[in-house]
Amino acid sequence: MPRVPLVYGRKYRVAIEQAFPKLGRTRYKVKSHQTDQYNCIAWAAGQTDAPWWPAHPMSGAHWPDGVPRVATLDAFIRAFGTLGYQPCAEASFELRYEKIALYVDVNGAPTHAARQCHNGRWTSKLGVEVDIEHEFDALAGHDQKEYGQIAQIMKRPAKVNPLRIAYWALHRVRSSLFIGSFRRP
Amino acid sequence: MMSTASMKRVVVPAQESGSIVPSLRTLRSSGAAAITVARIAAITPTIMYRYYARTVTNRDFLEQREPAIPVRDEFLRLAVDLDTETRFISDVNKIIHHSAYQQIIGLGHEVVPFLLRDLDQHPGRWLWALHSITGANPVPSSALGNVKKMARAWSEWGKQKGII
Repeated sequence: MPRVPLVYGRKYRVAIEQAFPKLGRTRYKVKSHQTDQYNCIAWAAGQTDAPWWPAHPMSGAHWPDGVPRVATLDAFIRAFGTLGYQPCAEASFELRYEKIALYVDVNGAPTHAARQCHNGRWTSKLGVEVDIEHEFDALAGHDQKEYGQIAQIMKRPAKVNPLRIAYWALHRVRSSLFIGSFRRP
Repeated sequence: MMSTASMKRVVVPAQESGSIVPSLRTLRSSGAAAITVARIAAITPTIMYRYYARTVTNRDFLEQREPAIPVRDEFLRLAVDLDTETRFISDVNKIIHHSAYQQIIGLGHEVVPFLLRDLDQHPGRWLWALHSITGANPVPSSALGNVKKMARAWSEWGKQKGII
């Protein structure tokens, strides 16, 4: 199958940045093509077969067995718990753990999930649009179509490989030199 | 100078001339009107039954291979609305309860061929609409939770029914 290059021009990026104003002030990369085969929750869970949501199975949505089919933060924490994630307080880049962040709206209902990449940055699927790699809180906020606030961080043990160690070391150096921010002037 | 034929047409009707007996011309026009009314009265139940059959029972759905163009236009308009307004939303319930999605479901069986054809491009989008409109369940339980397999099952169903 031919590989289609990821060409998302200025117009497309402007549309994303209008919905998520903080993205426009930080560095982010488009990492996939648009698809409605999966959503942000599935992407954070590492699945791309179906969207994850506590909806009717005939809608195409997957939801782990044994977890209540209700759209509450507790149900989402339990859903990620089936993958070995445990709630934690810190969103920092840890060598031995991979993390996810759960977003909720003003009513406390889950809206989005992001996963920490092996390089310490975060990856998100934007609805039925593309996957992007972004900074931790670039999608948070209550303006436009932003996903609300980050309500819960969860972590599970990660496989440690040389690439992850290299990124972690680089991250530590940047943090100690206070050059971790990619914000544009 | 008027011809004989023209002169015959300007004969004064019986009523205007004071006679209570209707002229032949009046009788003929009244008879034609009565026949028209009778014909309309006779055909009305047929029209009403056909309308009922089409709108309520959808009995002629499977014979209707090429839906009317306005349904296609309406579907495309609503699909674009849905795209624009839900493109960054991951909440499946929010998407299928969106007004544009509900209006697409409201288009009924005529929109099913378009939904089935669009499964190639958007395999995950119309699964609920298809289930909701047709009431069918062609997806085996082993395919639940896998959008591509579910879309394939619906396409097969559409081919078996002769819809696509």
